[in-house]
Amino acid sequence: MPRIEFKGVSKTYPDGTRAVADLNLVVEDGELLCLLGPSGCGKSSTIRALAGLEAVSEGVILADYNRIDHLPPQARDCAMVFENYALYPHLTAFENIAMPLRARRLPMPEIKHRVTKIARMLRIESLMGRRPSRLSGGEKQRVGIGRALVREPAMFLMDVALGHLEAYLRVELRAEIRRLQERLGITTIYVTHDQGEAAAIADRIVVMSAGRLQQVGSFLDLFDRPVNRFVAEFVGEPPMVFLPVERTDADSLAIKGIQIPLSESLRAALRATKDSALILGVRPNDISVVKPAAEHLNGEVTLVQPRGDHVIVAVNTPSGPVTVIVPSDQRPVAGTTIGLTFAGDGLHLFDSAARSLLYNREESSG
Amino acid sequence: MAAYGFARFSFAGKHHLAFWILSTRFAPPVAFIVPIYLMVQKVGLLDSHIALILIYTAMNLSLVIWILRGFFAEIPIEIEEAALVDGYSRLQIFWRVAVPLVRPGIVSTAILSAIFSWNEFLYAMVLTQNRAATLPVYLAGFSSSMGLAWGEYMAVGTMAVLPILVFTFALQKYLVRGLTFGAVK
Repeated sequence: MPRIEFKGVSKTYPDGTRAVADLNLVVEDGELLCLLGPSGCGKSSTIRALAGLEAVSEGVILADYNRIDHLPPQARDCAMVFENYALYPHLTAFENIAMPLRARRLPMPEIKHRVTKIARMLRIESLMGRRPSRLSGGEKQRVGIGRALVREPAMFLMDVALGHLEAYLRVELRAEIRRLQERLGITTIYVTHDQGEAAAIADRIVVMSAGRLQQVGSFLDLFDRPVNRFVAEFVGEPPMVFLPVERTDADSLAIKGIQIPLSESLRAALRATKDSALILGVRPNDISVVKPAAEHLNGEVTLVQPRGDHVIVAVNTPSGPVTVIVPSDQRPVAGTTIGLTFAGDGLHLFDSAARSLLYNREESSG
Repeated sequence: MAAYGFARFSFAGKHHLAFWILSTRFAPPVAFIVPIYLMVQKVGLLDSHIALILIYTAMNLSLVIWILRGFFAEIPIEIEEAALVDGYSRLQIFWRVAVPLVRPGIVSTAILSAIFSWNEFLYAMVLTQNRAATLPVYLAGFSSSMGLAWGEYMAVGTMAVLPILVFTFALQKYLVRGLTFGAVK
């Protein structure tokens, strides 16, 4: 199984859209890497370039240090699972899975053996005689995964493969994909816009935005130590809250005149910068609800969403909307006014103009 | 294959070429009757089957290309991409994936052009005498200065309609599929 390397890869479409810009990325042998980002961020273009369905405009793609970006798709040994399944409608499930083997002209008994084996792994043996039109979405995608894995490819690419499925099926299938991938040790790139999915199955996650790689790391890396405001906002559900803050001193900050208690390391970071336009980032679970008082940021509760053991509270403050996670037994009532305080060690600080990170929360609290 | 090319690949002047192919259907057939008569006469194929076969093929080709192009264009591109990553070449994809998928389209197009050729009157009348006369020409022979031979007219008319009728009924399944082809997914 190869190690895949993107070196300065860019993809510009004929209409001038720059889908991927200067991508440098290494996917280790046997790793499951997630490409995560909003639609149109270039994640699909990236794996389509790897599969050979799109030509790269600049840069090279290497598999085990050999260039593959000039090869036709047949020669790359990539298997791909598509968002809309892309099964052959005129063939049965068995024939669909057998197609990649037929392309390699394997003898019939061998084909039969391997298709049956993969069908058993995916628990779709009883569906082998059916055509795609008589399969449900989950069954179709199992056939799609079977078709991709049956020839034991060097690389396994999934393009929003579970995007069209119901939530419970997604959870079930992604666990299955992870199990199969680990068992077969195939280098896998998994494209998704669902961070829960990425967190659940990936070894490492790559966050992309507007064609550019933003950050690579485990889910906790991205969650606790985002490198910029985009990652901070995109990773985490509900998303991080951003509040514009004023500098009242070399090492103190205030929101609408209300002083924020800061940790010593944050004060040090603050002293090191001269910027005055700053944005404070704080996770909804690092905000506490207190009684409204002059020394707190106060706001009106607009919405309370129950989530089981906690509730998500939307609050309208003078600094803008704030989301807070509160234990269910302490939930406020919509329409009342509450005060908010911030855990001193849970704060992130961003430069508001460059949207770049100035300070991350302390490691110990992660 | 021409239709597949038009549906899937982009090349310089694609739209002009496609339009030019269609434009061969613009002019009324009568406009070409004299040159075509002279051409057929030159090569000595007057009153022969082969002349009509060639002319009908040429006449229907543009229509067939346009209709099939529509069918090919309706195949989701992902299915062909899946075949590409599965290890098939473009030509293999054409035969093993694209053609089976547009089979209903091919059948309905075939019926359509068969009906056109079967019923064509003008060229058949001008280019044939009696050896290669088609049914419509033969049928027209019953109207003479003596009046219409109604009995024979009806008999041959029925005979003329029958093959097409049988053909259409036999392939009706494909015709309907051809019309509802968009429902692949």
